[in-house]
This record gives sequence, structure tokens and C-alpha cells, in this order.
Amino acid sequence: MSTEALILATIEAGFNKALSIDPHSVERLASLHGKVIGVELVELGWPLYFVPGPTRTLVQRHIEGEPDALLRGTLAGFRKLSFGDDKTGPLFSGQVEMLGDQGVAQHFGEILASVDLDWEEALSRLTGDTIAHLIGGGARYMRGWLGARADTARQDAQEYLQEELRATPNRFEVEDFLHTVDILRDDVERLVTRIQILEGKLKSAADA
Amino acid sequence: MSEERTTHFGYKTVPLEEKAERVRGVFDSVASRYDIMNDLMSFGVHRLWKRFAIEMSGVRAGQRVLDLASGTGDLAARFANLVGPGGLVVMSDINAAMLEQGRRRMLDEGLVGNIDFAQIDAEEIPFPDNSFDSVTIGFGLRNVTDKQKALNAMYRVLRPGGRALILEFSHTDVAPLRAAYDLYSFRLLPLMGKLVADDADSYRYLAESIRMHPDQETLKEMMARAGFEQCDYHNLTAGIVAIHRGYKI
Ligand SMILES: C[S@@+](CC[C@H](N)C(=O)[O-])C[C@H]1O[C@@H](n2cnc3c(N)ncnc32)[C@H](O)[C@@H]1O
Repeated sequence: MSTEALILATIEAGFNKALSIDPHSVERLASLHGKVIGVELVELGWPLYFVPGPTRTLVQRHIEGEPDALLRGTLAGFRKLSFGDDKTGPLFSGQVEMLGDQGVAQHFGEILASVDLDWEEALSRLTGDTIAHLIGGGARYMRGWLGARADTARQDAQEYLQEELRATPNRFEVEDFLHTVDILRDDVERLVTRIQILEGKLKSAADA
Repeated sequence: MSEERTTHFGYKTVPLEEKAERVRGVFDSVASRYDIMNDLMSFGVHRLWKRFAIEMSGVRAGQRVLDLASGTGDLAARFANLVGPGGLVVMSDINAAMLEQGRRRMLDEGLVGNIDFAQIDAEEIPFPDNSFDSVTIGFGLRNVTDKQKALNAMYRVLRPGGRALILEFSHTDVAPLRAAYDLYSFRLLPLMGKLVADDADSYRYLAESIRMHPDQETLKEMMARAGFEQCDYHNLTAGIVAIHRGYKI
């Protein structure tokens, strides 16, 4: 979970930072407070959900129910939206599709068009091993991804457990976790030393 | 009956009414430094845990959310974004200083109009039955004296179909992690408390109250006892933190 949450947090921070350069776009976003707008890069096959608020926009991987609007397009389409000559062009040519509430979709699309967003950077964060974390139950991707590495029986069991229980960590999470524990162990030792030094300092400060 | 009722204040056993007082005292003394402290305490991971809890809450536009033990309002602020202008978030805490800190923060974030503030004890929720779509408590239940009573109250104010979420430090079984965690909670945390808030006792209390908190299965049973259905929990970071969820059907 931490990987997924970390990526989302990074994307959210990046998005809000890009917007903060233009106070006007923050203001325009505020009028969408509470609306849910899915943004789907076709290359990924699943959307991220953006929920604007008065001063910042939240980014989530899961929502319950349907989003108010969905913008769907290729990386090239979204790039054009942010950097093309005719910025809102892709919205009207259908290169970035607008689904759901057209007003909301267009409003959000125009805001996206008005800021410089680094779509490649965002996409690269979302690909590679991290995709597996993000996709969670997305069986199609999960199967392809796990299939290359795990034997079938184990894979099926794992997939089943993950989908049914959504609770069992996958082995990459486990490996990742164990690796983290190793690092942690070293860190702890270093920390103990530093604590002893600090405790010593505090003590001598108190004694003085 | 002259038998005195006692409870755990960290590892010390203290009379019940004294506990509420002490808890309040602890948070009074650290309210202003709490945010910095919180970041140091969990090196920022708590933000990720909270994100996860938010997604599990399924909160969306138009809903009414009660956040208990809100502190400075990390969860409440995100909820106020999610429920939109047509929803309502009640940010609450037993401690006035925390609440005031939270109120300022909401203003800063432009969150006005869909957020109310209430100084309430999680054990005695003063709202009518069936009033909220979600009731949440993040890193707060361990501070509550009578946890069962708080769970019962949470259940009561939920409307049928609503859900409760409890985000709390829990019990990890991974040995090296536990060692690190103990070191962190019992030595590093009080030390940081001393350095940042100059209040080592408060932070030692926090660490101890984490250890006294019921483990995952016990808390799940307590939720079921309160009436919640389809209770489940999700361990985060190997069980250092767990999110419990239950529904009122
Ligand atoms: C560790 S903070 C958590 C704040 C916030 N929810 C978060 O996750 O960052 C715990 C909070 O619980 C509050 N608290 C302690 N006992 C309480 C009670 N019985 N009822 C309501 N709040 C309580 C404290 O005042 C404090 O603000």
C-alpha cells in the first residue's frame, strides 16, 4: 500500500504545485469543489480520480460510484492539451475524449490545458513495477505482469487471494518489505548511537 | 460500591476520571507542536496511512461525515474537499486547543461553509441516531478511556448503510520491526518529545497507550459487539497500523 499511496501523494503534490503557479486556475478549479473527474491515459487503461477543492485538488486511485466526468486520451493527446499550439484543440477534436457531465469535463479539460503538466513524468511514475501495486484487482494487467515471473499455481492462488481478500501482500510487496526491514535494522543501529549521544548531551545540559 | 474503577494511562493504572483529565493535559501541552511532532513521529508515513483510510471511507459529494479525535484535522480537511459544498464534515475533538488549531487550518485551506466544529468526547457523541454517512477516528481511539462505549456511540450516530473507520496503531508480529518500533516508541519518541515539545512524558504516554491498544482481532470483536456488520481490517506497514471498517446495515 505504501508504494501506491506514495505515488498518488507525489502526483497530487506535483499537480497542485503546477497549478499554484497560476492562481487563476486554482480559483477556476474551486468551482468544481467535490466533483470527481477521472483522467485516463489510454496507455494505462485505468483512470486516476481528481477531486478539486477550494485550494487544492485531491488525487485518488479508488472512488465509489461513478465519476462526474471522465477525460480519456493517449499520452500524445494529453501532451498536446498541455503544450500544443491550439491547447484546447484535443478536447474538441476528440483526441482527448470527454465523457459524463460535459460541462465538468470541459471545465477541467480547459484547466489542464492552461497549466504545464509533465505527463511523461506522471506516466513514468505509474509504470514499471508500481503498476502492479496500483492495479490491485485489475486482473488483466496483473495476470500479464505476474505471469512473467511466478509459476502458475502460485500465481492463481495469489491472484485469487488478492482479488477476494485484497489483504494478502503479493510477493513483491513482501520482498520489498523484507528489504525495508534490512535497511531499517541498520538505521536502527545508527539511531541508537545517535540517541545515546543526544541523551548524553541533554543530560549534561541538565546537569550544567 | 466503593470499589474504584481504574483504567490504563499508558502502563500506569489510574482512576477513570483521572484518565480523561490526563489525556486532555497531554494534548493541551502539545497541541501547537503537534503537526511537527506527528511528522517526526512517523517520518511522514502517517500521511500515507491516512490517504489509504480516506480511500477506504468511500466518502463522496453530498455526504455527512463525523470525524472524531480530529486533532488538527488531517482527515477532516480531506473529507471537506470530498463532500463538496453540498456535504458536511463535523470536525471534533475533546481538546479545545486542538480544535482551534484545526479551525485555523481549515480557514487557510479555504474550507468554510461545509465544516462544523464540535468539542466532544468520543464516548458521548451528542448527535441524534442515524445522522452520518461515515464516522471516522484516526489515531484517537487508543486515547479513549472506554473504547467499547465510543464504538457503541459511533454505531448509534451512523445512518443505516453508513460505515465507521478506525485508523490506529496496532500490533505487528514481525520481530525486527517490533524491536525497531519499541526503540522508536519508548526511546526515540520521548526524546523527540523532549527536543521538540519539551514534554517527554506526554510522548512516552503516547507510546505506552499504543502498546495498550487492543490488537486487530480484539478490536474487530469489539466492533461486532457494538453492532457493526461486515467488519474487517487492513494491516498497513506490517500491522504497525491497522484500519478497521464496519457497516451499519
Ligand atoms: C494523535 S491525535 C490524532 C489526530 C488526528 N485524527 C490525526 O490523525 O492526525 C489524538 C487526538 O485525540 C484526542 N482525544 C483524546 N481523547 C479523546 C476523547 N475521549 N474523545 C475525543 N477526542 C479525544 C486528542 O485531543 C487528540 O487531538
